[in-house]
Amino acid sequence: MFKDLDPILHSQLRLAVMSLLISVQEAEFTFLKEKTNATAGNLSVQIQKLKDAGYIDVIKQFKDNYPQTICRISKKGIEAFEKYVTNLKTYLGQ
Amino acid sequence: MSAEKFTPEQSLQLIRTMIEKVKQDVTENSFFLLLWGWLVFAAAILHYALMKFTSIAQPWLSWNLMWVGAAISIYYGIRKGRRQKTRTFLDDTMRLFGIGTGIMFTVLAFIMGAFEIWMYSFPIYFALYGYMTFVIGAIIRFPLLRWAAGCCWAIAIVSVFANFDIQLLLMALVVLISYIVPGYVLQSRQKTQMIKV
Repeated sequence: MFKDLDPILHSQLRLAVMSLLISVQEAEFTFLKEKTNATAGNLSVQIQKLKDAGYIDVIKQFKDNYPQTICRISKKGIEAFEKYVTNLKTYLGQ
Repeated sequence: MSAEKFTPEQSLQLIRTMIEKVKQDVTENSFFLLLWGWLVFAAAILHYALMKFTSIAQPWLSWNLMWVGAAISIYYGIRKGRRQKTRTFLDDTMRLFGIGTGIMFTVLAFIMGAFEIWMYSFPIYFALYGYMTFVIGAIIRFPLLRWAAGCCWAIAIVSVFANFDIQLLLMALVVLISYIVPGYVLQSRQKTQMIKV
């Protein structure tokens, strides 16, 4: 039924992450976890899938001596997200 | 969150919900409006009082309060940056505009001092306050600031015909209109939002 919808994005948690990242330039892993109410393990797996698809960039660094993971949507990710929303609207007849 | 029975309607709703969650709180900008508003207000009134009611030779020293503002702004900015979990275009725009404004006023103060043309400085500052207020109002979408900018520009024109003493009082009026009143309006909105949460 939803053959035109990007399977990478048509998953609740991955879509939630992409929707958050589309609104900000970059966000910490803890921020994404807090807003999506996902478990750290599940979120890590989904972020890795988005990274493998080239939709986001993941930067690992240290902040005040603590490890910090920052996620940033890529150009490819923005294009995929826009296409996904356009297709969604087509389905919904908007 | 699961992937089961994930319809296009739910999908669109999820996107809307997530975007709503990161909608930026512009009311936090009240801190800088109030800080700079009260500092400039105090410096202008102090300058006027020292000039009118005392025999102090350098009443303009009251403007050293601006260094206090710069120190507090830098400290607050660094502290806020450390706590922030996201970086947005709005944050970057406001930060760069703030830095640019600070540099512009410092350079202007240097030029006015070098040419000893302090008597002409206030009308120029009033016009620039109007410009800054207008731009901030546009960035954070706060229409009250556009009206305040209009008042600043009107006062800038009027101030050309006023003497230096009156210009000092007009400076206090300008920051009251463009910084202090909008700052408190933003702050009250912030409190209302916190009560709702």
